[in-house]
Amino acid sequence: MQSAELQHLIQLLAKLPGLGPRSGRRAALHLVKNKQTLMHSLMVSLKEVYDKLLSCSTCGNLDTSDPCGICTDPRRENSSICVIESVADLWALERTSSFKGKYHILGGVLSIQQGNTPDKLTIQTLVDRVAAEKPQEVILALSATPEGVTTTHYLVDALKSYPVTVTGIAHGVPIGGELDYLDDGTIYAALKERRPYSS
Amino acid sequence: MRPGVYSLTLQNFRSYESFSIEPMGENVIFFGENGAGKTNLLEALSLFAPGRGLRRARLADMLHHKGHAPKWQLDISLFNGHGLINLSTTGHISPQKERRTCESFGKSEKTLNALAKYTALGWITPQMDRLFFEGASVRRRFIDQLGTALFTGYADMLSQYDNLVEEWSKVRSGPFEPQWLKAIEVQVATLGLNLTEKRLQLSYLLNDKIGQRASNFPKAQILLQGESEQLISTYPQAQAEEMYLKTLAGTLAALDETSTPPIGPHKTNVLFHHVDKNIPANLCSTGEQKSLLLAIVLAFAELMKEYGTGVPVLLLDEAVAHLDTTRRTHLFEEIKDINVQTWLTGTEMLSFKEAQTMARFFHVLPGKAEEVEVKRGFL
Repeated sequence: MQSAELQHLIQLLAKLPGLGPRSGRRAALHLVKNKQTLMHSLMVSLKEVYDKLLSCSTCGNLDTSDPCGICTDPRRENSSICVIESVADLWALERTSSFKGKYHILGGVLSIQQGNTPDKLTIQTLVDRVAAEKPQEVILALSATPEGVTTTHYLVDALKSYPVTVTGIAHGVPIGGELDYLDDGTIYAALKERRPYSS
Repeated sequence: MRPGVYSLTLQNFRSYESFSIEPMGENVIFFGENGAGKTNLLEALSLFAPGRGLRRARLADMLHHKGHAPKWQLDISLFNGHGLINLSTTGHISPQKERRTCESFGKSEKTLNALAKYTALGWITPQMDRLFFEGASVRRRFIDQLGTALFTGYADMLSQYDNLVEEWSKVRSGPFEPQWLKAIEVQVATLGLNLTEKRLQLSYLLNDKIGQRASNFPKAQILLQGESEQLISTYPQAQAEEMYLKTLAGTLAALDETSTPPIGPHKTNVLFHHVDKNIPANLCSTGEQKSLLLAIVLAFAELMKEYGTGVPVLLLDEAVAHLDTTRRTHLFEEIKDINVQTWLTGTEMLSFKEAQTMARFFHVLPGKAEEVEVKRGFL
């Protein structure tokens, strides 16, 4: 039998994404075994993040300052805003170092079944940003799911009265992918979004 | 070695507390009394396709009556011509909810649709004897079951379309801006036409295959009727999409709250025809209808072998019950010719007399099945 405190810790750990009761027990045991080296550092880190972390009121990114480091970075281009669903997507794009503009985190995609109505997402904030910051391009980098594509169409419509080019990231054959192994929908999207090669 | 199911294990499933069978890709015949648990074994196999299995039952109903744990588990080992594929599916039952998960090679898959990458299952059940009389949704489900087995991504397309139709209905009846509905409609139109095109492709392939096959069963023809089918066969893609959208938008005020979109693959009517007699299948005799259904499924088994990416397996539950000796012999000969692993059930061992050299026989008793050594000429 575990103590009530340990049991509580296991229950909390089990609620983390990717973990369950069994892995929660394993994680708790690992922390207990490494009390000084891991558990204490984790406690300090959790407290620090809890105390200092803020959501950027401009783009929705998580940082210790508001506006966040990306929004205030003078090296980032003001001419483009990349619209994404979550902070995880921002981290994924930043890992590639391929985008030098600013971000806008939507907070999800439109889905009435999941309660994501337009007012629950930061769509109006995006429209206000476009009106105020006057970027040249808004890149819509949302999931290639029906909900993601619906949101893309919705945003295109919402931004149509502003002098901004709205683009979307390409959907289709992944790098290293073989056509024979792809599903019909992906091949269809890839063919539809084909582009000319300049000679 | 032929592609097929090499082993199947059931735990806590229906009448089986723990059960295992190793047919090694050979055809399987289960015989036994009514209620012995023959269909349960075919149902277990059918759960390796996306969807709710051949009985479309609730997961809780599939739990063994002793129910030591609130879950049942099925494991399968398939040979695809190159190597073994290990799949498992588990039904988790709790008072709040029930859900089914699946794993391939010991790793969790995101959705059940992933099973379609590995398996291509076609089946006939006694309930399907009424297929030609049933409502349009049952006939569409039959076609979609075949599409799922044949085309990669079909199951995903189907669930995405169903999801979008639900979104459309809810957004349409809610207090939301019209541009949300408009954005959904663009998706409904694109996906609706893609799904319609896939179904049409399936019907062309099947009709061609049925026409070409040298079969002793009557030739059937499948016809798909609906507005989206009409658009696809009349206009180029872009124009069809535009007209689809117009139909969706045009009826906004006329529909009530529970309505589904006025056009789309959810409205398709699937019709079956007896080619030789030139009459609709629902006007045929009971025996003829069974034969037509067998003709479709046998042709489909050949298609699965030629076009499908998954391991083809055919499940025929009580399919020989109403067939005379000649028809039974034809059925077994054609199964042999098609060379797709087939699992059959029936109450009498003697009903399978003509199949004694082409299958392994198992006597199903409550909770178990014993293999019966059948020597040529024994039956």
